[in-house]
Amino acid sequence: MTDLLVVVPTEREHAALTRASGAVVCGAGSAADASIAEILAAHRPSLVVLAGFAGALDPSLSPGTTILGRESTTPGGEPLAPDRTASKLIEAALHKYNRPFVRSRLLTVAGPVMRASEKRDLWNTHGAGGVDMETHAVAQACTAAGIPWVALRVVLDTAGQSMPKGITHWHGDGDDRGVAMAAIKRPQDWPGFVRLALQYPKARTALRRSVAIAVRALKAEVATTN
Amino acid sequence: MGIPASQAMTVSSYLLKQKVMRNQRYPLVLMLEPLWRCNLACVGCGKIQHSEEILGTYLSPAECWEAVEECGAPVVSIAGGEPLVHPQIDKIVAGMIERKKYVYLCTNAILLHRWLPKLTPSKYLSISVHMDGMREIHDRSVDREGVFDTACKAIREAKALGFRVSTNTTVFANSSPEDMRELFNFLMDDLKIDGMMVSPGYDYPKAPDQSVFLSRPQMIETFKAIMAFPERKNWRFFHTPMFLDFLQGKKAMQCTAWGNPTRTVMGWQKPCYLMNEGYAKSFNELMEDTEWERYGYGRDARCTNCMAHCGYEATAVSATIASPLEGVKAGMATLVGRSS
Repeated sequence: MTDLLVVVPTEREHAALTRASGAVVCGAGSAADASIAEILAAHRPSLVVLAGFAGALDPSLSPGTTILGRESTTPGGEPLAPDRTASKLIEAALHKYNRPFVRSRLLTVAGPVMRASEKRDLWNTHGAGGVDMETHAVAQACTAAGIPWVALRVVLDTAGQSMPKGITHWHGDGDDRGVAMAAIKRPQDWPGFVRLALQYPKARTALRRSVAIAVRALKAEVATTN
Repeated sequence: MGIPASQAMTVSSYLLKQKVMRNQRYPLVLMLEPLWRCNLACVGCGKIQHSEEILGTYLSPAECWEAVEECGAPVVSIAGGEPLVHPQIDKIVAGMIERKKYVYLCTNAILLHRWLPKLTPSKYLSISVHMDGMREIHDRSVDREGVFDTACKAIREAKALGFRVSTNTTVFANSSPEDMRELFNFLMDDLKIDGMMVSPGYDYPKAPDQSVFLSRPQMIETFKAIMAFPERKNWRFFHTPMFLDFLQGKKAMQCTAWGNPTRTVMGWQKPCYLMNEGYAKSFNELMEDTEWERYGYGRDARCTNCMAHCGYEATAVSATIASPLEGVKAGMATLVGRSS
């Protein structure tokens, strides 16, 4: 049995983390729905840390800000709460290392949110700091298996930022080529891609640091308890 | 008249100074509550549920001026309780005007007639009268018959004496957009007030009637309906166009809890005007020791149904200064006396 399991949606997020995190890739969007139960059965962790990028819905959040999930929800779904003790430990550790973070709701939707106006409406309706495509599926699977979970998401794109149209071709690992081809055909999307590319290193670094801090804090607690 | 041009200039230059100095957090409006005693018990109010001992405690004029100087905000909103119950309110206001602060003296106007001879009209002073609806709705909201008529009479008298008079309307579940339309037309066309402030009610857990509060989606729908009336172009709001867009769900905003710090008889209230998690001894302690990131929509369940101007107008003002287009819209609103 593994004590602590870090789960990330994509290889890109996996690559952002340190090797010590021992993260497992669950797939993006609906792929996570299908794989997460198997992953939990195979690893039998005592705690799951879901980590990855998110789009900001909270207009005060900038790229690289960490969102520690206060609740996971979906449009029309019942909210799920993460493990309180683990959340508090991570919160204290992020504070200690001065990582910019907020505790907020995370909203899970089926596909990328493309327009800033859609983000605004989701914010007004759900009050979630960030939007992603996997957190709720992982939270549901963990809850069903009786495994406590926490979610750490790092802001990649801001609330006021519309996505370049080519992003609609992205559904998970392996779609980068399709996105690139779509981008080549639409020069008007290039500024949007450049902006994302400039934001990416900040988000990547923040994800690596925040997850490392969280894992270290949780492992230290386990060691103390044992 | 809308907001005085000098006030707009003072606030703009204050904000630019904060930006230049790279201050991340700074106050915009000091919410001063020199007492919690009130001569009404409004159904949606959660401010006055204190012991008799606390209700009998008043800030002295010197304590009020000290708070103003400590905070440094260019605008002061004197609330409460009912400020006109304070026996030295005229002295408190005069001291603030001396310090060139733009003062909003909030009142239910029951005692306004008695105080008007002791107050002096000034570009620094706005008398802000609480008005939640026309006669039936307002009197029900404040839980006393006759208050609407008293307030209207006092407003006319204050206007005749040359005071700048605005109103502050809280929108509750039991007032329809049509009711608000009737009220705003009456305030602008009949009472000829200088401007209006409007805010959805905050669901105070201590408020006597919890059924009067709107949920956030309901607030947005209500304000969309209110702002869609054709007379809207004649209504003068003392708000930024961005805040009014926010109320209609057209702009996404996060609360700026530190924008309106609150000094009460117990100290500086943490973290904001509406929530109470204890008191700081000084303004600096409030600003430095409060974990501001913990509060706001999505972050704290108590903020879920809050769209109040004391949290979001500071966000709107700051965003307006940062955006040239919004700055021009706000400038036009100040010049012509209309917002968006």
